[in-house]
Amino acid sequence: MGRAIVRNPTVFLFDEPLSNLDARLRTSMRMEIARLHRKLEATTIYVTHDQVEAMTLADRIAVLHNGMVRQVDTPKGLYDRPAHIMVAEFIGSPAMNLIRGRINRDEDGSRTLFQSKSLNIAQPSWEHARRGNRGYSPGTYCRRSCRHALRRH
Amino acid sequence: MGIRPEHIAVDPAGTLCGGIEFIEDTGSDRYVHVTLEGGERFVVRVSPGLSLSLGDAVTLTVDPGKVHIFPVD
Repeated sequence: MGRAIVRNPTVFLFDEPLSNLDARLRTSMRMEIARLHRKLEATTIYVTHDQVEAMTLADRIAVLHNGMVRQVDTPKGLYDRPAHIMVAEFIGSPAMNLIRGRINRDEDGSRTLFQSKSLNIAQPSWEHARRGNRGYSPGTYCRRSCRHALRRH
Repeated sequence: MGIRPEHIAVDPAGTLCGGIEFIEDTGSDRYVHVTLEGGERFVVRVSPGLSLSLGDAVTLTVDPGKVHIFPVD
């Protein structure tokens, strides 16, 4: 990193720079990189598998999966409004609970229901669901496992 | 649907009934694995002070505003 910094670049590319460090050193180096980034004010593209590094260092994160960009958003945006089931599972620890079920309208059509064996959750609408890459339609069956769905895309 | 462990609460007034299968204590946090009556499984983040044991029956509340819906087709 030192050798790169003295050349005064406008863009840094880091490819998993902290992956070989133990947990404690990784945390302190994370802070060091954040500090350098603020000081040098150079655009930094940082590749990592570590969601904590991504969430704490990034202004904006692009989540890649099977060669596809699943979502580009701020760390908070990824956490609050995951646009894809893969993003939902990947961001946050422990992982988000995922339950298969069915979307229905209640009798007077005023609310949307999520129903599974034990669950019956009502909402006026699932507004955030429509922010996803693909829409859903009421009555969509969730037939196959999430794993299967991920393999297909 | 998806719901994060921090958006489910162990709540005596809750409507979801289940049993505790596993408890993870990390010191600062406590994660309780609950299997609901219909077989669905949830990980719930609870306060470390809450006295819960393996096998306990609990009731849960899900914050509907924090539920995410994803298509599976």
